[in-house]
Amino acid sequence: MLKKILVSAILATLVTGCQSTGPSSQTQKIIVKNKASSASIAKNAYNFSDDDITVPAYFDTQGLERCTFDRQKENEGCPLKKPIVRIYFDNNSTAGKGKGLEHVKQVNNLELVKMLENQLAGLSRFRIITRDDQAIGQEQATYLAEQGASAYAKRAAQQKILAPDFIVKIDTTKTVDTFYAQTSGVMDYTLEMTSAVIDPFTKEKMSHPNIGKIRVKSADVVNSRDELNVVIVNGRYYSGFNFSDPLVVQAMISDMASRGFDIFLTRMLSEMPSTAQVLGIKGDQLSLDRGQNAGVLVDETMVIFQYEAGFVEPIGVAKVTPSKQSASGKIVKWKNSNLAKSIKQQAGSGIFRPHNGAKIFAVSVGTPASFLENRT
Amino acid sequence: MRKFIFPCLLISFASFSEVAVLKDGNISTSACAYGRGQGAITQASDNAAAELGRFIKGNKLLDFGDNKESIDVNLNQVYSTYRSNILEGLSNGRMQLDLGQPYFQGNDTCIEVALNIHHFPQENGDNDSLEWDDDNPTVTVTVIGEGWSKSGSSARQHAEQDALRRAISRVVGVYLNQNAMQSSQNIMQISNGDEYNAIKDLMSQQLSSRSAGLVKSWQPLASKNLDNGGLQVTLQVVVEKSPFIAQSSDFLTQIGSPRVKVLAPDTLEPILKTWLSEQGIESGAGASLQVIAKHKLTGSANSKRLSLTVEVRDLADNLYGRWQNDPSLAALPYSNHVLDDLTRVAFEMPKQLQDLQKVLSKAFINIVSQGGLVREIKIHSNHLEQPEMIHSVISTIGGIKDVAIFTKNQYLVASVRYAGDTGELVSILQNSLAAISKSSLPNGQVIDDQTIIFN
Repeated sequence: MLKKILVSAILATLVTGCQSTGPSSQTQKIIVKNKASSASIAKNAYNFSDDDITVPAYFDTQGLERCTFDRQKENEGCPLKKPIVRIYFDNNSTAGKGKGLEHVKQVNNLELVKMLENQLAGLSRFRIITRDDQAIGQEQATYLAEQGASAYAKRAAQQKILAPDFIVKIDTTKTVDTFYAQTSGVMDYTLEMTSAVIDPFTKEKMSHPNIGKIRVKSADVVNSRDELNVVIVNGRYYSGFNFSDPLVVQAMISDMASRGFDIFLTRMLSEMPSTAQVLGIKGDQLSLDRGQNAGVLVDETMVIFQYEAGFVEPIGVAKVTPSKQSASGKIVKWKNSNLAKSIKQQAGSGIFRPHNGAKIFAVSVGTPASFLENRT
Repeated sequence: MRKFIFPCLLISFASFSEVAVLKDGNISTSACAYGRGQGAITQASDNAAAELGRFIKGNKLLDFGDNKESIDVNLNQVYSTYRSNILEGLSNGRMQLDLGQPYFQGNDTCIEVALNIHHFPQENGDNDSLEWDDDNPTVTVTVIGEGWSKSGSSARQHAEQDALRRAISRVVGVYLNQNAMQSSQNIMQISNGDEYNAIKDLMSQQLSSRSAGLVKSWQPLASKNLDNGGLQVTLQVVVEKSPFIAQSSDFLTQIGSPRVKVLAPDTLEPILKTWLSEQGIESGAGASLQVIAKHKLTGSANSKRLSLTVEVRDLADNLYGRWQNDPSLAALPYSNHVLDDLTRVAFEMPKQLQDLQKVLSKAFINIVSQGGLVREIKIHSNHLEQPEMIHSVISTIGGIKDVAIFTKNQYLVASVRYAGDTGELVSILQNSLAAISKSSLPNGQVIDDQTIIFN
């Protein structure tokens, strides 16, 4: 009897031991770093390896069937319909114990708004209503004076101001700290930016696009860190970075905001990639059904994939050039797969057009390298 | 011969390689146009229609042989018989085309278009042949009326009255369509269908009550019994034109060009008066109707906006119509002359002015449909022998509605609506009130267009 109990106990221990491998581990701990944010851009299509040819997130396979192509009365289901937004910056939220905090508080946010409006408009992801009432008012008064009340009234009655679907709210915190060394101090400005897309009538903050938090440090926007050195005598500015001059501080914050916006744009382009449907492939050449109107940028790197029954299968990577309403591109690298080989073969002997319910799409992988060089 | 025709077709297909003959005999082609959207689709389909037109034009020997398996034998004649009709239909866009699903080719939008030879353009027939002939002193209409016997009158009498009413209504419709609609000064450019119908109904209603003076003669053409003892009669009615035109003009003047008093701020008054006079509405101090305008500047310094309101009221302050502009349409930065500028702009906006015109027109129609303007008749109590009779006496006067009696100080006041002018009302009152007044009823005085006093 004792022997049986002993054997059972040993077996039970063994079974339990086999089943238990310790607590499950799907997450890991990392240290949260407070470093400045950096921009990530798309790789050139020529540098893609076969493993790189995968479909990026947030592609949209909606076709243009439901589009009216009337900018003012576009159908809700049309992928070319872009949300109309107005951009807001919060009030000056400042922090830190550095010198010249009062000048940081005086930074004119409206100038930053206009800067972001200009840059965001070029992406063609949103339709922006400007808040530059001064320039608009001035132009309208001039138009009235030059063209007369009748022409003015006709135009004003035809073109109503856009109604925003959402507001894009940028929340910023500007921090200034001064670090003292033996002979001089160092100014350290930080700009933290988060953004939200809000429905102004329901007050709902949208989950998409999720830009995250962008942090820009003053050291990132100067040529040399020495530029931030300052000599303070009896608590007052003596030489070096003039923290007591509002214009200097405004210029520094503007530079930092500009860098922040660059990062903002690159993240926006990854969050909201441009997707287009492939109409045909001839040899290596692609024909896409939308271009500039869907926000396809110059030298866009796009992954080509087949979409069938909810499954995506990458075909290759292409470099795409948009025209106004369509785009053409070149498949630089074909994926090493049977599907890609079959399509390549068919495209080699004429125009390959997707059929039998399968559709082929192209989705951008992020900000083209040339965009940051030429547009920021 | 058959052998000859078939090669003919082949040759024609070779020269128009993109045009295909379908199994049902229709011919189709595809064409493209630059761009996206409805504009591009229309352009592409026009291009295709032009291509089909060229194809048909270039093939005088167009025939389909006797291949009965694929093409209906009747179609042999269709293209040759109706060739010119098809070509005309294609060129003026009245030929029915079967459009396929549009598709994209690069920057172009393309569409397949088939010519549907089974549907030819048809002329739209106009059934209403009644015309307003200026040379003829009468206008003759044939109408159907229905009636049932009640309160001592026979079904026939009711049916005839109904038919006469319809006859007047019909003539009103023709008159408005062919004459008054052209006279914008008179009835303020009735462009809106609802407004036209409202005027027509009101005018028919007003004129029908005086049909005896308008109908020269009538004769029954047919009659038919209806359920529940009813009768349907068909009458040929001859309406005399000159009294009809006179009464119609009076009516249209009442609703179209009344005299109004304009109450508006200095910046607004001249521009509003000018506009009203352009619409045929006279403005002056002693008018019984007031057009009251107000304005307000709103918005920030960089974008000032103008809110304008215009109301139509009578002297008793009853509101007949109200218009408000859309301030969101125009904004200008603040300056000394921003109010003037925005006012000028507001009176240059066609859509807004059309709305204002409609509101005014509707207001004037409202006044007539409610029985005319409100008048106050004040009679000093000393003059009345039987004051209790005043309500019934005034109520019996033709054209007077909504009688209300009250006393104010030494006066007995009758508030009434009257469709005619105030002077006319005074003379009628003078006669009617004599019956219930003491011997010395003084002459009625018109204080303003609203108030008549017997003091």
